[in-house]
Amino acid sequence: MRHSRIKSLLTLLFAFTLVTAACSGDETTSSGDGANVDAGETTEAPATTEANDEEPAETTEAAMEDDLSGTTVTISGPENSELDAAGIAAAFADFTAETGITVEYSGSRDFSDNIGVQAEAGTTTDIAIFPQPGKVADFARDGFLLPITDEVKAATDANWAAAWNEFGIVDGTQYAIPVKTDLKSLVWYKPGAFEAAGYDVPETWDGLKALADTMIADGNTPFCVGIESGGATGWTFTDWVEDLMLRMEGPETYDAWVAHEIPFNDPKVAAVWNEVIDLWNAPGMVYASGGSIAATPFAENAQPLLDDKCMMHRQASFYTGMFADGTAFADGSDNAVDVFFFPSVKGDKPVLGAGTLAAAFNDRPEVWAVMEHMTTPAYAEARQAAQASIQGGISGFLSAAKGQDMSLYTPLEQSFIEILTTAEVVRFDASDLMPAAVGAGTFWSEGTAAVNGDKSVAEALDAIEASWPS
Amino acid sequence: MELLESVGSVCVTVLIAIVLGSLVGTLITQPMTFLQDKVRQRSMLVLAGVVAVPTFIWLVGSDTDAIIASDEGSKVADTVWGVTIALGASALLFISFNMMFNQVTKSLARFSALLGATIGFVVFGLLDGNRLIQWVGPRDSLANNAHSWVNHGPWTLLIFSLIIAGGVGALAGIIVGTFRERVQSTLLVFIPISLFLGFIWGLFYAERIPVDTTITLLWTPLVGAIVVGVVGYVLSQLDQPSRLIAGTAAGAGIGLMIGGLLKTVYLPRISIIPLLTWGIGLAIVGAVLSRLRKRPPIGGALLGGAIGWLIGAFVATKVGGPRFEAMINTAIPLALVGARFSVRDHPGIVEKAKIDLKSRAWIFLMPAMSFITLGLTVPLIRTIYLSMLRTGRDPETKQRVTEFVLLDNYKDIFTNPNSFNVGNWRNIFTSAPFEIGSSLIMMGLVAAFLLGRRSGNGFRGSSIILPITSLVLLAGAFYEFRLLRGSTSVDEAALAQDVAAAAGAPSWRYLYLFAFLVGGLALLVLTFSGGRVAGQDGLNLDLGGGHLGAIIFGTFLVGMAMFASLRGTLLNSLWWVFAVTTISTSMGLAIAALADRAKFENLAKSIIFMPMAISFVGAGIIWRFMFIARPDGDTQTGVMNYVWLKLADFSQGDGVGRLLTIIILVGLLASLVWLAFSSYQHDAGSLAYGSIVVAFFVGWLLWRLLDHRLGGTGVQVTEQILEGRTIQFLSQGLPYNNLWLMVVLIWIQTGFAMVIFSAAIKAVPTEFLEAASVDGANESSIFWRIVVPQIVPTIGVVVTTLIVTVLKVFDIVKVMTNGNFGSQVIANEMWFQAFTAGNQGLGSALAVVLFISVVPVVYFNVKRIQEGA
Repeated sequence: MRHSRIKSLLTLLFAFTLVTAACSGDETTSSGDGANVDAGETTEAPATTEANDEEPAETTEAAMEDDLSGTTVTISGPENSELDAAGIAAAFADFTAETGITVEYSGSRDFSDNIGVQAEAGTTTDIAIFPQPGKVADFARDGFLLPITDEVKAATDANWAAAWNEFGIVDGTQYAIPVKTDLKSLVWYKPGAFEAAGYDVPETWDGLKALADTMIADGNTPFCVGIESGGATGWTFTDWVEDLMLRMEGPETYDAWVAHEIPFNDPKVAAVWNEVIDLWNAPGMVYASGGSIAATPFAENAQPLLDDKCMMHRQASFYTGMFADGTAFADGSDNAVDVFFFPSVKGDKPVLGAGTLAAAFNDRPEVWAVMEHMTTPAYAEARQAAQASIQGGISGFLSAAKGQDMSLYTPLEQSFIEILTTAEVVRFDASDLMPAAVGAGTFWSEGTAAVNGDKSVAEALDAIEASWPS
Repeated sequence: MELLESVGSVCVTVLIAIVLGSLVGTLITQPMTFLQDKVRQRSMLVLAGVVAVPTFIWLVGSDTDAIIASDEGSKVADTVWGVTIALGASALLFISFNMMFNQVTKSLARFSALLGATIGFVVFGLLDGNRLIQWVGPRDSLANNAHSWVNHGPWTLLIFSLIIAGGVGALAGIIVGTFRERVQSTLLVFIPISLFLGFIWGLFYAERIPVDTTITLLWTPLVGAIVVGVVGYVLSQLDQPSRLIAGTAAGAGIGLMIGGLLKTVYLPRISIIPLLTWGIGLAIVGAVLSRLRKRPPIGGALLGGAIGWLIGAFVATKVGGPRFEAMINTAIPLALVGARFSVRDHPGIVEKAKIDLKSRAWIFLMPAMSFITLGLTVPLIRTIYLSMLRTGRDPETKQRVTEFVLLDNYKDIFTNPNSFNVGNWRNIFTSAPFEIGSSLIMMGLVAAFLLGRRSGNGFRGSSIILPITSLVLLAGAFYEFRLLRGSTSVDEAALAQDVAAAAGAPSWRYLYLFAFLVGGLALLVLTFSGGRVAGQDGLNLDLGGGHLGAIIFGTFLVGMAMFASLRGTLLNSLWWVFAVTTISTSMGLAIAALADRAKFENLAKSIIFMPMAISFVGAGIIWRFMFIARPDGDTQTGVMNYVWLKLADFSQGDGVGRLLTIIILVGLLASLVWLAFSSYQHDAGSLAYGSIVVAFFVGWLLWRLLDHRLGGTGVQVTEQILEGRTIQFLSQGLPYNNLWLMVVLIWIQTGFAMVIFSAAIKAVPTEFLEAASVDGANESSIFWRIVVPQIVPTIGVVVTTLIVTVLKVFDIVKVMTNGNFGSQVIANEMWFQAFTAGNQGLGSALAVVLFISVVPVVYFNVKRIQEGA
């Protein structure tokens, strides 16, 4: 009797143990199945972890020799609009059909914040698309990223100019490959409006300022400026500063500034800041659709330009996507929008660029296969074709990969690529190269404070210098 | 993967089988007396198990696709199953634990075994579930561990495991109690179990058993349950001193096992200083706590030492030691735990009854408690530790360097002017809120004094309020004086603002100087003369009437003046707490009191409560749209600016409407003054004060209207350009732009305060109110003197809850300004530092500061709840 009681209780416990233990496994699986890849812990995709922890390496290598079909590669990145997601999906469609590798992309606005947490926790996607080379360097030095394999290196060297590959090289080893490029040194304007008022496109910075004064005298507002961008408020201002820094002080000083070899509150930097802020603060100079520059979302500068509320707007090549549907670009019609190159100060023609870089976190053959594909012109062409067909013209995407079919791009976009590939001096967006505490932090916030008049330029620069990580 | 999925689907079936079986069994057997046959009850449970296990085994082996289709529709099914499982598992747990606690009085041995099994199951399940231990590891991770004996090949390992396990078992068995017990425990319990474990372990390393997550998932908790369960059983059979020895040995054995199984990446080093510091430190803490609870200190010391050792070994040191040290680091604390639980004698009948009675509450409490411990205590310790680190990059190698900086991060917080800046404290005294606020306090105090003198009751004695107010007013007078002298020690910008606000009328300044001086001196005299002035045995301040409102509002304004001048993230968060808590509480109280017993009460309350349903992020976005400003001259899309500019148009028009408005306003002002005067005569203090306060507002409105500046900013008076100008609510007028952010939270939280207050007001006994009415008290007196004192505890609850909510505010700031324009708060700064800027140490330090500032409030709240109970 006594024994049977114990037995029965033990049986119950045993059964319960079995079931709960089994169910705990079940929960892991179902959360891993969820499509939401950027949600912290659930990102712990069982496939990845198991491949790392438990599967003997021999098995996967054996699998590679056969083929990679049936495998899945996950990618995360900051581009989260429907257009970008569709473009990226299209860029992998043929690849998946050929190789059988499924590619899952998840874009998140908070990519930059999340990826650090995920890297610490070991729950990143296989590949991450970084908008900031500075972050790539940090991650590479912390040992999170894998150096690209020889095959990928060969492919990217063949497909991209050395100037672009340079951004993925950390301490002599290449970790990341360029996948998308942006041209920042552009001023958007309406040739029709310029013609009607008798303005000429300025060639020099002084010419631009003189033109602006003429416009004010004529009762026009020269610039649309707005630097609000949610959590990234202020980046438009940093772009102006960077473009002028490159022009007024030259690429050497620019590099020294980025590398913190000259302090952030150096008089040269202050001069550039004052140049920008003084220009913006001149009476009648700026139309800000949100009432003040700091309160105007950067995307809300497109419509005023179309409506002739202002004559010019300095913004990167991707800005095409911000104009209303049906806007004509550089086709000679009255309302068409065109760009001119941000004028030079000293007569040179330095280019401020930006872009995204892909780097791998996990060492699996299919991951490298995907990386290799991302360097190819075929990837860029597929994405360009898909986005262009959705947008009906200008795609918002740009790639400086060599050997692309240029007919996929509109003439305007072709001119962008022309500038990017032929420029003698190309510099990456400085705020993307600086440590995140500055480049994604105080450079933006203190810049905003200075633009808004909350702080003097000197105060703002001192605060940024103080925040530079030691 | 497939197997895991199949297990997932299988466990659904099995659980349902067990749950249904046991539920049906229990439901049939338990309530019906004629079926209260214990054999029948148990046989039902056994039946469930017997059905479940073979089903489980069968299902594991069967084709999984047939069980759950992989299409989208199965997600719905999954959810339904998930809910069923949760409900069923909870029910099963409850029943099982109840049955377990039934055993306390029936058979202690069985109870100990079951309790041990449960603890083992949970502990090992947690270790395994968090991937801290690893029964099998890839070769290379073992190979990395060059010093490890694990590296000597599978069979050496197997034999070694057997020796260790058997040795521990034999040792534990041999030193146990009497001869019979020795034989019994050695032969029957320890050695077989230890050998079994060693064998399984060795086999896994030898890869004789197919490596599969499912199996480790299943059997880790199971092994833990068996091991600890057996230990529990044995301990309950032994008497002192063998019980103590066996307990310690068993604890050490389990510790060795865990240490041996720890994943390579978690292996800690033995570093003496943290081990001793934490171990001894917490042992002393434990001893003191035990002593305070009038228990033998040894128990607390042992447990404290164990926890301290674990912290010293796993939290405070770097990982990367050899397995040997890890095993010591786990064996010692668990031996201490074992000793702790063996040091006590077997419970007597009374204690058994106590356990039986009291433990059932723990069935529900335990899961909650463990979640809180895991979710709060562990992260807290970790965060405190992180806050003492600073991560940087070596300028040469660019490698990440982490150094221990103790309190430097905290020092940074309090020395960085962005987070803590009290440099402009002088501006407090020259700001408009201070002038208005202190005037209101003076008026209120004078009224309190007059009323107190007349009625002879109230707040007796010269309180601390008087000297403080007096000093503050005198300081205000001093700075007014310096301002009028044109002294530049005051912040230039604030000076310019004040001069603009005074609109070229320095006579106002002289008025304030005079008022401050007289008020301050008068209160100073009152302070020191006390009763003599009052002519009675103490100074009577009647602080129960409507003028209390004036004093409170005045204090609020003075506080606003303070926070508007003292800037920085920390102080800004405090400003949020101060302003939002005060305004939400008072508005909630006012609405609850005014709507009480009104016809439209429910409708009004529902509408005001509605914002509670909106998330902070949603509210932030909504209000951003309301605050939007468009360039002057464009159509305004933001509601606030639209209304503002319409008012401006109205103010500048010359039509009949404007004339009419002026007449109405003058009339209103006159009647308010008359109302105040007659109320004073009829001893209705609060009505008088209410009228005066409203009269001030109406007067201001009238003045602005006449001055053509309603809707204008007033800076263009000289040029007589009077067109309305938009307001950049969020980005201009620093620091008062913060108020527009706070409005959002106030909008949300007022409903919360109102609902609670409404319930409290309705709970005030009507007898009190009726008695007061009979005595001739008016509504206002009833509210201030009867209702408010009755609901003071509720006010405490609302205020503390609001303070905690407001301290944590993050979403609103993140969405609306992201901390730009001087609107940063602690939580958002913490996010930025930890996740964007990569300063984890500073971010953690901010988190700790936030935590520490919440603790007193929570403590106060808990204490209040305990007092209530």
